[in-house]
Amino acid sequence: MTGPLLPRRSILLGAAALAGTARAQRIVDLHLPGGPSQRPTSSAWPQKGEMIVQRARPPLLETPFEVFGQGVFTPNDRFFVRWHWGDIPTSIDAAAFRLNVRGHVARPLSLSLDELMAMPRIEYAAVNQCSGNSRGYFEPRVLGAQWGHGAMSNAKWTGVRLKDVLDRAGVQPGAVAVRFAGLDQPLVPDGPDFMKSLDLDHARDGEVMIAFLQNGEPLPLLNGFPLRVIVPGWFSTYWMKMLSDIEVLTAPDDNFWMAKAYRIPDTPGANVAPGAKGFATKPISRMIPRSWITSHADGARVTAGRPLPVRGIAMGGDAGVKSVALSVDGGRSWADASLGRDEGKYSFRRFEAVLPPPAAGALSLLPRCTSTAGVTQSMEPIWNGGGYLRGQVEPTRIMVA
Amino acid sequence: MKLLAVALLAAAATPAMKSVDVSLPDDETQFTGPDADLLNANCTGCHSPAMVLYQARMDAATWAESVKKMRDTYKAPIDDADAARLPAALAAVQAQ
Repeated sequence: MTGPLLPRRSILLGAAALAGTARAQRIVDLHLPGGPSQRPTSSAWPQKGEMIVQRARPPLLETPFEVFGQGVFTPNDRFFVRWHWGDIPTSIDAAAFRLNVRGHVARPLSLSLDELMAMPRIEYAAVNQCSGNSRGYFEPRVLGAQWGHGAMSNAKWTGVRLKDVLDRAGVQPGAVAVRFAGLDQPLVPDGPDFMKSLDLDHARDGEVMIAFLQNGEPLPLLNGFPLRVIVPGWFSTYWMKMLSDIEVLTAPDDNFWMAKAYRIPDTPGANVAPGAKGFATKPISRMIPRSWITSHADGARVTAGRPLPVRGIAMGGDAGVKSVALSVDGGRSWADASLGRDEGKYSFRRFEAVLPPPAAGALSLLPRCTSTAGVTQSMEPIWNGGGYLRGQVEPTRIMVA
Repeated sequence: MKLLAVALLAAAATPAMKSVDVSLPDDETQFTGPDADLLNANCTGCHSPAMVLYQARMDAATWAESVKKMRDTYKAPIDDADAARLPAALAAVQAQ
C-alpha cells in the first residue's frame, strides 16, 4: 500500500526520463501554505532516480513522499541531497583519496580507503534528516530551502567508529572538540568553507561513525562518496559529506557554521513568537519524534462504513519509537497502532492500524509518535526564523464517501 | 555497549572502493523580466534562480536582509549600486 501523499503525476514526459537532461518529468505540489508550491522532478542527477528538484545548483533534491510508503529504508537512488556550495568534486580517485586527521593529536594521520576499510566495522540504521525538513510548512513562512517533508531518508550505514580513528591518532589532553570538513569548496574566495564539529565526548561515544557503505553499497557521490560522518539521532548538518579532514580542536569551534548558522532558539521546543528578538540561541543538535501517514495522500477518498486500514512511518528522533497512536477526532481520543519490525532505535519504523468504519465526511488522520525517551509529538506548531525542528503531529486529510 | 543495533562485522566482506566520475546536469534556467540582467549577474554565480523563485512572497525590506546576508556572510561579490537595486528586483521577480 503505497498511496502517494502528493497528487498523482500530472505531467509525465517519458522522453525526459531517458535523456540526461534536467527537464521536468512531472510536477508535484508540496501544498506549501501560500505557495509557490509546485516543483519539477528529474532523474538527471548521477546515481539518482526521480527526485524533486528544489534547486539544481548547488543541488537540493527532495525525496518524493511516496517513497516513504515503500519501505523503511530509502533506496540510495532516492536518498535526499543537500549541498551548501556549488564547487562539488565530480571525480573521486579511490586509490588517491586520503582522510586526514590532524590538530591536537599525537600522530597526524593520512588514511587511505583501504586502511579505513581494514579497521573493525560497525553497522546500524539511522535516519538522516535535514535541520530544515518541512520548512515550507512554517507559518509565517521563513526564508531558506522550501522543503516539504522529504528532506529526510533512512539507510543502513556501515563504517568505522570515529572513536577508533581518533584513538589511532592519539587525542592529546586538552582537546575539546572534533571538526569535520569535506571536499566541497566555496564558490567565492572568502566564503565560509562548510565545517561542523562535535564535542569530543560525543565524537568518542562509539556510535558516531565514518561510513563508507549506505544500504550495503558505496555512497552515491551526491550523498558524500567516499566517506560520510554519521551522527545518529542528530540532524544531518553534522553528517559531513565527502569527509576529508578531521581536526581535533583545543577550544570550542567558532567557525561560521557552528557560531552563526544552524542555530535554534534556546527555548522549550525551539519555539519563539514570530518576529521575536533578543533570545539566546544554541547549535541545533538532537532530533525529535515525528510520524506521517503514508497509506493515504491528502485529499484521498475512501468508502464510508468500511474498516479503514492505514499505515505510516515514525521516527523517535534521538531515541527509538516506543509507540504510535492514531486519532480521527482531532486528538480527543487516541488508539495505539501496531509497530512494524524494529530496525534499530535510530531507524524509521512502520506502523499500521485498522480504524473503525468512518462515517461520511471529511476526516483528519492524526498519527502521534512517542519515543523511548518519553517524548511525545505536540499537537501545536512551533515557530523559529530558521524553520528548524518542526515536529508537530502532521494531519492527513481524507474524504469519506 | 549501549547501542543494540551495532554489530562488529568482518572486514573482508567488501571489495576495494572503486573510483567515481560523474557529471552533474547543467542548470539552464535564468531569471527573466525587466531586471533579468541584474539578477542573473548577481545571484546565479552561486545558485540557481529557483532559490529565489521558490521562496514565499516577501517584501523588498525582507529581501534586503537576504542581500545583506549574501554579501556579508557568503561574500557574494555584489557592488553597492546593484545591492541597492536588488531588493525591489527580487520582490518584483517573485510577483511575475
